[in-house]
Amino acid sequence: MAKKSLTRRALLAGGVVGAGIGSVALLASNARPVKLPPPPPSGWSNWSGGQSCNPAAIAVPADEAALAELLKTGKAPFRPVGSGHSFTPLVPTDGTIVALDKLHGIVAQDDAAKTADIRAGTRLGEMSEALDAIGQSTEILPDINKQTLAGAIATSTHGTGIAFGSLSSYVDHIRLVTASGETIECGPDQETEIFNAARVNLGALGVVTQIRLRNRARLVVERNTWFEPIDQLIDRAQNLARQHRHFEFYALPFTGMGLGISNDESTAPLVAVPPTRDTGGLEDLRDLRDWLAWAPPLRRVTAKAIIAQFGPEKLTAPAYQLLSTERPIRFNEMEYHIPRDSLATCLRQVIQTLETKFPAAFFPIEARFIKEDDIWLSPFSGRPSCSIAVHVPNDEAYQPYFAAVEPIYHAVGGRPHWGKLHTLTAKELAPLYPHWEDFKRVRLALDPQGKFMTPYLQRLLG
Amino acid sequence: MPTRTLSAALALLALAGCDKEDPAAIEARAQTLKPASPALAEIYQRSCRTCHTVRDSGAPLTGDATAWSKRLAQGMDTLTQHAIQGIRSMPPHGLCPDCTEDDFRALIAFMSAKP
Repeated sequence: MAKKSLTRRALLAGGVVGAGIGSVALLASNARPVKLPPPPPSGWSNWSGGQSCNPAAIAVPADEAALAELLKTGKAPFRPVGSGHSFTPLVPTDGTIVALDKLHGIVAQDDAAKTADIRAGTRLGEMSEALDAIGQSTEILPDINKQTLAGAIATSTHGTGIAFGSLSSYVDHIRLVTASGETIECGPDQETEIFNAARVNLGALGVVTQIRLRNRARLVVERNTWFEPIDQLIDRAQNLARQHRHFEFYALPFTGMGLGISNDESTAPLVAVPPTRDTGGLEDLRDLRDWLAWAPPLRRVTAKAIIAQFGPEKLTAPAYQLLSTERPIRFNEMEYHIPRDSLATCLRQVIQTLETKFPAAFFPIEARFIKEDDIWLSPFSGRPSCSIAVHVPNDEAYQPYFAAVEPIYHAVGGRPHWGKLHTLTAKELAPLYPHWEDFKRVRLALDPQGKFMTPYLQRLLG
Repeated sequence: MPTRTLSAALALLALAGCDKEDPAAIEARAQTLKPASPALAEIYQRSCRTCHTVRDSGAPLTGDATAWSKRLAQGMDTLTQHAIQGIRSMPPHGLCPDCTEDDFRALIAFMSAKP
């Protein structure tokens, strides 16, 4: 986060103990730990533990031929899985989970065009290292790099930057094995309707096995992070987004402060990337909550005093080492994509809701910028967007908080991230997507028997 | 504290300091290691390596025998169960849905060994 962590020692020095409230920890209802279901003995659960199932089989096909045979003879519904980083029930099935793990690595590259054909099960971290080795970088990366490329594409996973769309918008070609076991290739000039559907596909069209990404030459960035009063940061956000290649920011609840992060292309000498302060900072925000949730003014004053000790941080490194970070604390998340000019109003409402009703909240609220695209089920289709994400640790109840925040997004026509928690069904989603019926038509043509449809997919797509 | 005792304590502290390996060096080394068996190396590359070579992940790094020794003290059976059931930020099966118990044991043995 910054040069120094919000260490527990700093918290104590900052006055928590000095205020004489050493043994008081009043937590709101959603801070009480919830008991996670045990992982199914021979089953599957997602990364957060919030979704799980006992499928008839978890298949890990080694190649397209094995996959085709599986789809002909295995037990439906089939659900493709990458790394299980979706919080929504896109994967659970009592049929067959199709894991893409063995389909990984770069298959081919075009050095002049800066494209690479990548197997669908390649995790973004492995992919980024492999691309770096051939002198390429993706234009953007999400803030977590554990997902597989196919999972990221299926859900329109994105990074930040007003000039950059989601990873799906950099897809040039897709290989897809359909329910009948047929392999289809699609691109901007080949099977264009399937291509428009497959670039954000929810795993509903078949199993994607290979993706061509349009990349760029190896990218080095200078990352700057700084703390700033959140009201001021929100006011400056649109300008900062125009000034920097990548800009995002976090509102730190109950502190009155925000954290800005910019990344810009750089030719400066590389520096060794120091250990992250994010985890320590997050734990300390939780400590502040645990100690001072009962007294928001004191919590704010204490937090501000502590944050004031920390200066800005500047790092220069290959982009893939800085754009994605680790998440050692598991959480559940809701993220909506809203029209870009709604950001300030919407974010202030989220902060106000959180700070007036949910004293137990402590996770920073994340705001990012995404370029519009023309992909049928892309949440960024046809409009420049901002995303606002809220998080709750996976052992605390998220439902009351997310239920209070979600209507704020709906009021501005927000579209949910397909992999992050939301309550919308086909009835509410269809009006948000001009090509909704086109997607359904292509899906039905590729999977007339509904081999990829679970009850959740039925509710989602109608 | 008598001078001689103080000196001994300082010497011990200095030795302890010498024994502590640079975390950046541990991370850099972890990123170069891979199992000798090609089959195990393929599994490791697409699963364990994702987190066990990244300091910020919080996972014990490959080849960091000191970090692993505390875990190994729990017994290989326990560690294997942790991999299967998931622990802290590691999801069940540790990003390896096709790993057998024997695979997990071999992967843990590789990661916890001193290079």
